Amino acid sequence: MNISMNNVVNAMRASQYRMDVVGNNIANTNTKGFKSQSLEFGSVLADANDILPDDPQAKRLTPKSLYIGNGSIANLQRTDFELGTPEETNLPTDLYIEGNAYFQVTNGQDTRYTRMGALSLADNGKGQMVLAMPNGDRVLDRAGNEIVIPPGYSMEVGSKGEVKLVDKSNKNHVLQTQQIALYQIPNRETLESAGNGEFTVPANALSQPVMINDPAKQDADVPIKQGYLEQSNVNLQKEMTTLMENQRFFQFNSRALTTLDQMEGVINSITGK
Amino acid sequence: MLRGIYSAASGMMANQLRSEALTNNLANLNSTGYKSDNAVFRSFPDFMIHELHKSDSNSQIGAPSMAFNNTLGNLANGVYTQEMIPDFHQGDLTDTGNPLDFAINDQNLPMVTDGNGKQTKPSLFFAIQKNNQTSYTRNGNFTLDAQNQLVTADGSFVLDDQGNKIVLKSDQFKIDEQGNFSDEQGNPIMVAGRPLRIQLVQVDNPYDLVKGENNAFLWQGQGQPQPVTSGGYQIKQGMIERSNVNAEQTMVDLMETQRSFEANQKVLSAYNETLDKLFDLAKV
Repeated sequence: MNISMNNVVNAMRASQYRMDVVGNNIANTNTKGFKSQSLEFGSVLADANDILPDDPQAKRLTPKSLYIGNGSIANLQRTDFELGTPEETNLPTDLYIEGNAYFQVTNGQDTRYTRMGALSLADNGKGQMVLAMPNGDRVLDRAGNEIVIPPGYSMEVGSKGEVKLVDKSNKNHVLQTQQIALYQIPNRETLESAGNGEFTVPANALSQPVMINDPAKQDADVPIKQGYLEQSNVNLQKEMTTLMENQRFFQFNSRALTTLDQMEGVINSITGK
Repeated sequence: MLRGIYSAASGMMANQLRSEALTNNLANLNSTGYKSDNAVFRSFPDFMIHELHKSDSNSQIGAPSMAFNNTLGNLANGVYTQEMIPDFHQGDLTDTGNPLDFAINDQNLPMVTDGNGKQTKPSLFFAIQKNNQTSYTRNGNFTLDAQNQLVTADGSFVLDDQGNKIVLKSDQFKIDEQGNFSDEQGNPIMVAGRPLRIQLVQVDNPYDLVKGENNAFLWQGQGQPQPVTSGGYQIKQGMIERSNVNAEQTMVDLMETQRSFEANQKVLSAYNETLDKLFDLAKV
């Protein structure tokens, strides 16, 4: 009876994990640049049990022993890297990456990768205004430096990430100094979430980030669009379907648990009158 | 003795095992590529029972008779769960949109004739390997590990048609319906001069497979399953094969099991009362 109860309890636990993931996806329906996640289930290793009595005459279809499974577990969480649709914001510090690539950002210690394009200008501590993430992590250029926007200048970003600094008092005075770096990570399954839509690449991973958008090339490999933001790629219909299905799954298993409990009651009342 | 008391107890035990199989099916209602188990009951071996206390002219009244021709008939002394037979029917294919999800559709695979001239329906599986042990699965929820190898959720390597691990350059790849890999631009991915192709094995008698971990099966039959040679199958990228457990049927079976369990307990209780009466008599 314990195996049966373990089976349904495992399944209910797995179902709750999936509920957590779905809940997180739904909560982030309006989070810019959010990538939805999914959780997959697999069965737990089946035990081989002896069959009693051992009747050699009995015809069998399957190999000897009874293979009884031990329920299911949630064993694979993956991110859906599908591109979110662009939303026009007209803010010069909003950048949309039109394809599979990441900005490189730093908090001063770690190098991280993100697609969160809702940037702003922040003080880097040295009296300069630099392009930064909402949490203060600085966006880096191709040489690995912060992108400095001097006072009195506005920023224009080209499709390859070239930053043009336009003098606000004299529109014809344009400085072009830096280019925002874009990286492609060949195997995005190795990305580790660092919070705030940022990811780290493990040092031992075979797939390390590759810088793209070489300025010598005519066209950008992955263009950047200024004034747009990437919307969340959560598909609400899909999430709601998973939610309902998951709720029923939980109910089926809790119903089975009630049945098993009644069966245990039956055992207890064998000697009772 | 009271044989029925053991029959009733064995009935309870068999139903308990059945409930384990049913709850396991229910727990795997959402497990990709899971194949539901059916518990098969079998009665204990029959034996002949004879009338023992028959008075005949040659013996004293009440003494055991030595004549074994007073047969009462066959009696089986209970029931047991003999095997768990998986149902290898194709599960429903569902679209996930994840390029690392593969599903096998083998409904149109030609039938094969087994050694006894019987037509059977073969099944196709992905070959996966962990700790040098090959197992077979329909669970196509794959991912790429840190070494860019295509692996299952429990870290088993997915094998190519040469029996090697599949190493990909990026997560942007395509697989056609026959299992050939190509890159983003549609060029075939070559490994050592050969196009990279996923291994699909054809198992003519899937009942020789036993369940392992993560919806995978281990082979226990003769020889080794061989890669599929015929057509009649498709690999679908971005789709998964759902568990083929039927929730309604499973819940009904579980209720039935519960009642059967209860009925057996009632028989046991009835015997208990009979014995009680006997003890009451003996008290005097």
